[in-house]
Parts: sequence; C-alpha cells; structure tokens
Amino acid sequence: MLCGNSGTGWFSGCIVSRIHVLYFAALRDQAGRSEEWLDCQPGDTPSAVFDRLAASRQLQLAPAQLRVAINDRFAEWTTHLNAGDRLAFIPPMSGG
Amino acid sequence: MFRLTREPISIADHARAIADPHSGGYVDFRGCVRNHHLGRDVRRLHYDVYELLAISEGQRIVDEALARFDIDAVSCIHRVGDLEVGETAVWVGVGAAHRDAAFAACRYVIDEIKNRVPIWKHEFYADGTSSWVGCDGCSHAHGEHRYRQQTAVPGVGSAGQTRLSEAHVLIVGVGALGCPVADALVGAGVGRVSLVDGDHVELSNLHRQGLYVETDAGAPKVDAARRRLVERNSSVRVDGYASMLDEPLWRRLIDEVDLVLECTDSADSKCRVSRWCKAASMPVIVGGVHQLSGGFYVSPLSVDQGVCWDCLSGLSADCGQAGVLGPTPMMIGAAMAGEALRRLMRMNSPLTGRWTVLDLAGGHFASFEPASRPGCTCLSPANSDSGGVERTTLDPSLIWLDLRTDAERVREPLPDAIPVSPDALLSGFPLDANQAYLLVCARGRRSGVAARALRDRGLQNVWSLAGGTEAANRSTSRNLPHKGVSAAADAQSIA
Repeated sequence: MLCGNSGTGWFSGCIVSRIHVLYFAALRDQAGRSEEWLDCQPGDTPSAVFDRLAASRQLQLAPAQLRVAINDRFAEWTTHLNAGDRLAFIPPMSGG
Repeated sequence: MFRLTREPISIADHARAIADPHSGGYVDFRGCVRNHHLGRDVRRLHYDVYELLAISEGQRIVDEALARFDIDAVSCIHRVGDLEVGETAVWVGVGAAHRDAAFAACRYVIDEIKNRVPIWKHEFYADGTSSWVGCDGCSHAHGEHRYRQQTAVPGVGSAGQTRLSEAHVLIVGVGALGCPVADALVGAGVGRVSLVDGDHVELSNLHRQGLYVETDAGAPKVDAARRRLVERNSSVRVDGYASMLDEPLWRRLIDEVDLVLECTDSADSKCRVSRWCKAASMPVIVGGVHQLSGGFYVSPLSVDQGVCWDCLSGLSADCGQAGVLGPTPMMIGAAMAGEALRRLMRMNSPLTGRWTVLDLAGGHFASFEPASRPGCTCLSPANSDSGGVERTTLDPSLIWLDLRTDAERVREPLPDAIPVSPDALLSGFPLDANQAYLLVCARGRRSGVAARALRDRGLQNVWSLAGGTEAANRSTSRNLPHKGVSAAADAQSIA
C-alpha cells in the first residue's frame, strides 16, 4: 500500500493532468515536432515519460546522452512531475 | 552578464561595457563560423536555442567566473539563428588587474558555455546535406558506424552498446589510472561519466597521464580531462567535480551511478570508497600501482559479499610516492576499463570477484579470490548483509524519516515523514533507541547507507525503504520502470 499513513494521498495533482514537452535540435527532428502536451500518469518522472516517447516517437537518443529540464531549470531524471510542468529533453549541446 | 542575440554582434560595444580603470589586462575570445568541419565544406549554420534555460545557465557561468577568478568584469554574448561563414557566433570578454586570471577566466567561460548552455549548431554543407554538431553518435545509424568494431565482438552487439549508452559511471581520481579508464569508457560510448578529482595538472604527471598536455599544467584535472574527453566523443555527457569524494558528494551521486571505478593513488580513499560501495551494494573496481607492478579488484556480482581495500591491503602495494613507470598504470587502467565495460554490458568475466595482479618486474600475471581479512570492520553484520536493513513497504507503524532533497520533497510530498538530510541524521539528530524508524529516499541507496551507519552506532531498529520511493511507485502503478535499475541488480540476474 503506497500511501501508507498519508491521508492526502501520494499522487494528488497528477491524476488528471497534462505536461508540456519541448523538443530541441536533433530530438525535434526525430520527434517531428517542437512541442506537445501529454497525459501525465501517476508518479511520472522524466525517465518514465522518455521511455514512453522513445517508443511512440521513435526517438533515437539514449537517456544517458540527454539532460532534463523542468520548468526551464536543469532537473534530475527521477524528479516527479506535476500537472502543467514544462519538460524538456536536452541533446548534447554544441554552442560556442 | 550573459546575453543572447539574433543580430550581428558588435564587439566594440561589448568591450566598452567591461572597461574598468582597475583592470590592467583584457582577454577576449571570439568564436566564428568556419567554412569546414571534419573535412566537409560548411556553407552556413543555424543555432537552435532553449532561450530561458540558456540565459539562466549562461548567467550562472558568468557568476561562477566572477567568484572563482580574481577578475573585475566578464561579459558574454552568443548569437543564435542563421549565420553565414565568417560571422561572430560568440564573444567572451574578461577584464582583470593581471593577465593570468583574465586568460584563465576567459577559457573557463567559453569551455563551460560549450558544455552547459542549451544551444545547438546545425551545419549546412556544400553537398546539400546538414547535421547537428556534437550529435554524431546520437542516432542509431551513426552509432552503428562509430562502434561497429566494438559491437562485432561476440556478446556485445547492439544490445551491449545500448547498455553502455544508458550507463553512468563514476571515476574517482583522474590520474595515472583514471586517465586510461576514462579514455576507454568515453571512447566506447558509455553514456555518462562523472569525474571526481581535486588535483591540478602538473608537468610531472604527463609521463603517465595521457589525457593531459603541457598547456594543461595548473588547470584542475577534471576541467582538462573533460575538455579532452568531449573531443574524443561528443555524444558522452562528462561531468567534473573539482574536489575529493567526500560523504555528502557520495550520497548525492549514489542514486544515479551504475558503477564506480576507484583510481586514486590514496590507500585511504580506496579503503573508504570500497567500503561505501559495499555498504550501498554498488559495483566497484578498485586499482592500485607501484613502480612496475599493480593490481585491481572487481567486486563480485553480489557486491555486499565482496571485500574492501583494507581486506586486500596485505596483497596490494602501497601506492604512495614510490614512483611508477608510465605503462604500468596504463595497462592496469586499461584492464579495469575492460572489466567495467563487461560488467555494464552484463558479460561474464573470469576476473569478477577476484584480485588480479600484473607484475612487470617479475613477468607474472595472476588472479585469485581474495579472502576477507579477519576482524575487518567491513565484515560486520550491518555492512555485510544489505538485506538486513531493508523493508519493502511504507510500514505505517514506523516513524518515517525523509532523506531526500528539498526539491525532491516538493515534487512528491510525504506529509507524514520527518524531513532530515543524511548529514544531519548522522550528526546528532535526536533518535529514540526504543522507537522504530524507516528511512526513505528516491532509490534506497542514501537511506540504506544511513540505516547501516545508524545500526553501527547501536540503533538496531532502523530500516531503509528498499528501492526508495521509485520502487514504491512502480509497485502501485503501471508506470514504466526507470532504466537505471541498479547495475548490481542487473548483474546479479545473469549469475
């Protein structure tokens, strides 16, 4: 039983919700779009979302090659997503 | 100040902005669009950008330069959008009282921008094709070509290559052993490599530390190593930590890392890291060298059944200041990297769980299973039995202590848990010996380490949530499992 003795529940805020996914550079080419809204599932993390997208959008980059940003800040793959979050997967950078 | 622009960059305006009567020297760097890349004719390019993140990260780099170097001012502007050959793409300017700090800070800013600011270069070639720079290994098609000699080895294949690309390896020490290890792992396409080393490059290092060149002298090793490694394979993410591996950094990294390679020349560090790994069920390879001989230990598939460096110390050389011939660590490091690759790809190795020695002076190569040293504290029940502290459910009869970071807690509140950092918990946080506690983190490693430390101090009723909140989530939702299920668990599955 996940919620244990927590009365408020574990997944509040993420039951019926969507997240905004941004694609850049090589990932945008692979996904064929620059952004999309996705249904968020309970307990979603960037890692879980990427796993689903890698299959449905045929993304060819591995998570270890990417970094993650949530709401315009670098974040961890295990961070839990909330409704309305803006999620970006960052391919290897090549500025300068 | 860091800025982005879609218009041509006027260097004179930006140079004026950093003018300061206190400055005795100015160093600036101008990056331009060149007409060739890897032998191809470049006609024009386009910079894509994630604007909000680029501005905040760029400003963070500028602020870091001001804090780290004795300089008066620093400014950087990066062009995005469409550029023609010869146009200025980026400009970094630094003013300082003395030139050394200005040169160093300018180098720091441009290197960090290339690594950390989300800007992507799309090159268009004379033959009508185009490509994203730095992403050569990013598609399976390119990866297949790049690694074809490696995937052709029996047991590797595309499945092994994918496992490498998904792995995160921590290399502790980027000296004589760490250089060949990092070079081999990055070249092989391990997805992410984190380097930890607080030392600076010295000329006396160069005979055995192949990642460095003369002009790196004086630079932090992790910075110089990262520069070279990214040139070797731009699709690998390389992070550097310019410090020794202390407990807070270890606790930060353990939830993310799949394998540790201990490559320092410090017996203390080897002992500490091998014990930490054993306690956290983290696969580890520890090496040491001495003049013309050296050896390395590969933890067994059941990591907690292994030994620590202290158990091995009767077998190992003292790797202090006794001198070393360059090829010795190169060979030991190469062998350690080979074992790391096999472990990550879940290939069996006869050296797993064994201490392997290479004695070039006597011409011997041998490997044997080390015995635990009687009385070594790494063999205490709390350390040797990782299952002994674990609970698999959020048992409501226990008091929950939440060891996660503030950011993790905000993302996923555990309202009934008491928030406390692992450091605070282990340095005097009041615990009742008659009360049962459940320690919780994201993946169960931080909580496992802390629970065992508290057990060692006599608190027997302290438990760790196995697999952390992630495992708890997986058990109650159809959420896909995270790819980074610990390599220990993966490795055990092939036994």
